[in-house]
Amino acid sequence: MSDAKPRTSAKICGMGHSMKRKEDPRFLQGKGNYIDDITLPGMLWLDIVRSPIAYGKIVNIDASKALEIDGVLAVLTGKDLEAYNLHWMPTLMSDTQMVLPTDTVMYQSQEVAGVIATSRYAAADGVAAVEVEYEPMKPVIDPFQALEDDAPVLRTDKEGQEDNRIWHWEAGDKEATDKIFAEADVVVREKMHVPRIHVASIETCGCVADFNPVEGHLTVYMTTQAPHAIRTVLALVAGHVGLSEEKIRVVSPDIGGGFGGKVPVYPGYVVAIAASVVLGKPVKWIEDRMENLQADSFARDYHMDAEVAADASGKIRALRIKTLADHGYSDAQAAPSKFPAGLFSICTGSYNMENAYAEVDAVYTNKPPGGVAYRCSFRVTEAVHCLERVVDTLAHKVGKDPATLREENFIPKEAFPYHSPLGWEYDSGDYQAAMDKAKEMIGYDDLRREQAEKRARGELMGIGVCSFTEVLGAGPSKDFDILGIKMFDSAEVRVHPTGKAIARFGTKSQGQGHETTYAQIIAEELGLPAAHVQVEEGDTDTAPYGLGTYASRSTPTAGAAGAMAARKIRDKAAKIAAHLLEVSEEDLEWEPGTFSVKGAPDKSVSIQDCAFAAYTNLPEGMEPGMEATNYYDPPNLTFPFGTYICVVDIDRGTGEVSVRRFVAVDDCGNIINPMIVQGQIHGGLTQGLGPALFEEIPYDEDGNNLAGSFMDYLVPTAVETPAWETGHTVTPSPHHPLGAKGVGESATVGAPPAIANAVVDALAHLGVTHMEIPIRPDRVWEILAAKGVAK
Amino acid sequence: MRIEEKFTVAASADTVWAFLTDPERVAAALPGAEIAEQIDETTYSGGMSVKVGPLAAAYTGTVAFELDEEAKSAVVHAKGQGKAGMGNADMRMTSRVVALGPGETQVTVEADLSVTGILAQLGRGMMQHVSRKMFKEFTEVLGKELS
Repeated sequence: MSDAKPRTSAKICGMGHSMKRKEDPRFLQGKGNYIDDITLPGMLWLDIVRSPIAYGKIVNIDASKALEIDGVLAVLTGKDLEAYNLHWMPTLMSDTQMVLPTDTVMYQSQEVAGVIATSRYAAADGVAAVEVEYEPMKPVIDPFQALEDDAPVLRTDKEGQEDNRIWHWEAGDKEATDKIFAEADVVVREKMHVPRIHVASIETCGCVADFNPVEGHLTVYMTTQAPHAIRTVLALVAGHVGLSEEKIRVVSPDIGGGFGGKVPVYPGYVVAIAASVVLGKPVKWIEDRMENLQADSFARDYHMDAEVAADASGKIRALRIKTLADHGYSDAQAAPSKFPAGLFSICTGSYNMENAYAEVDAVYTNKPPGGVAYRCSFRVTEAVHCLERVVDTLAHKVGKDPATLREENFIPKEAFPYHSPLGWEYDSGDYQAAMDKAKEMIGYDDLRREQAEKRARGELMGIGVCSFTEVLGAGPSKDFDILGIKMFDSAEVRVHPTGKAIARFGTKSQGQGHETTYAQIIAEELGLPAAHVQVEEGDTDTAPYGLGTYASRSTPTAGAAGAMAARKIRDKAAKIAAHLLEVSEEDLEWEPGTFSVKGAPDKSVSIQDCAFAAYTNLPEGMEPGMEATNYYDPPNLTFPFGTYICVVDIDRGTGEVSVRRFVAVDDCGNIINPMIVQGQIHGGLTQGLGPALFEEIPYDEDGNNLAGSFMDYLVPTAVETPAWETGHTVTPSPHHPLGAKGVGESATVGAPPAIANAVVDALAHLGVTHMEIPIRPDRVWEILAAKGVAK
Repeated sequence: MRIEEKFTVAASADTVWAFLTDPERVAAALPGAEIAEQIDETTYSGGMSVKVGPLAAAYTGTVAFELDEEAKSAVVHAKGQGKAGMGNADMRMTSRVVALGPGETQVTVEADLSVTGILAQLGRGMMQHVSRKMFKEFTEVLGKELS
């Protein structure tokens, strides 16, 4: 349970060392290479005409005035693309989506036409000069209304589509669950909405498409989290116009934040590629901030109705959740094929219960398509928020402290591997240990005493607890694929003669620090200093095939592949070492970086010696060189967990919630780089604070996006963000080669319910059992006013 | 968006009614509005430009009048398309003219306004204020014209 001392020296810097990030010098000096830093000779610019209305017919597109502008070369419309059958594309969920419309627009900010010009300015002027005449129609904005009998069918383009339903998904034993509910002592219920939000990464989306008409070769520099998958999709959808996979190169350079928003293929990319193919010149497209916030895939938007059945003492017996998922115009999620509702079935969380049943119905509305897994491994945020909120309602109902009620319901550590009622096999866990540590760090009992005193004085203070279980690292190929491609990942490690190495991976860092973490994994396994391992990702011409970085899958999949490839090299190095030391392999001992002869420690060779010999002095019959590749198909997902405790104070005059303290105890198994893990948790907590208190994309009845700029879409800044207090416990994953689990998304998942629970806890004595997020001051103040406690 | 306004004019109800049902005179009194041509007996084409904070939007479209002479009640339906991708606007406005005395008339206006695009997104916090200001200017002109 305690932290083991690193196995390697500080010079080697393997696992457990807080190595400074190898990528930071270039980022901190402004020397990163992002899409917008790429300029190619003869490059043109694309800017996009977007729909101001949410739903309507296109009567006419008049580009004549745009084409008169100096520098404007072409205006591409859906009709132009239709000639090549490129006016539509499949989504990653096998739904369909327009690239550019031929007759109807389906959501505000939808791409309507592309203007190609010799400069960004001329392109923007061209966009303003394109006159599009619309015949507006009444949009369907409310997902519940979308299901009503008289609602217009939105996707008339889809054969056999007779209503606005997309799919129905369910998990668990409904009958057995209903039976428990019928006989349970206590049933609590909360309806809640986890609203539509946006990843709002610092860098917006964009690409430079460069088609070489002589060679028929396409290079696309692109803001993508999954370059290989994109290349395959491009080959599949554009094969008929001559783009075949060996002639497509996708390069994902430095990425300024992805968070799931850079997994989908947006129409802008396709229009840029089409424009480059048509004009035979490189074409750059970069979104501005409002385009990014309004048109790119949203996240969440789950309306959940959750119930928990328990006995009189608060022992949870069953969980039942009915959900309506608003997907907008198209199901453009980026979830694995067999998981239309993502990994929502993790909703039984950290608690042992007899049974559970969850269902999700997905519907179309006139909003942008989605939804992406914003830093949450496919709908885990929604599931955890729902469960952790309703568990608090149960604690309130049976009159127990929410921490105590959780402890009494935890899956005991002896029960792992644990089979959840909805079909998961949790790899490992010790939930009580994380709870104990969090309570100790924050001084839980003292806080409860303080709260009682303050409450007596009329002050509003709340303590919120969340004990989440995450499910990360998709995933085992028997269940996990995207458009049929299995979700393994890969590493290719090559050690040069002088003992330095290059390691390439199928994933793509967007700020996670892969260049450092992966180097440390190789260092751990080979004993080469991490400083001597160069990590490369993101170029489909050089990196091994992999499904990319999202769902906290890099360490569970590609990280494991790196370890396995390094072990193959170490096995070969052992044979070389035996040859150099003139002993048999069985007589060797391995300490990171050194093979020595058992009983004669002064007789040794270094891994660097072995590398040199691999090119210069080989045992007879051995293949030269020192490299290995591994495609790692994980046997299971990883199930990190944690307990977060939050303290809030509420201003009775304004309704403002301030987070006074926030303790996050995470367990992600063995830690590779503690500093990077802590950084991931700090970032994740801040991205959990946002949706809890500020972030939401509301629409008015006409389908206008009411949070389409940073004036209205409020992301937390350093001013609103509390000083996070982090801690950890270590429960290794039994199946991961390094005992590691994913961690990048735990905090985004765990923070919102901890904050919401704290606010509800502050108001619980007034009879409040639930608050919808984001918990804006006006929402709180209305309750305070209604309860007569507003100042 | 719902707009409700009420104002009094120092003129007879008949005079006010005659003014309010004359599209040319209304357009002349309303800042930013213009009538281009008459399409049929009750419909006109024209334009409207408004400024909401830093946003300027120019619409072209039609305005149709439905008059109830007896009750001195007019329903005006204006719809327009914004230039440069500014989105669409649609307004259905009901005005009633009631005599308060021989030389004093009250006009009540109820309108449902639906605006799409950037004006609705960024300007919605200001639109009530802008519409109130436009009504104030309109009634001032009306007062001057009829006095």
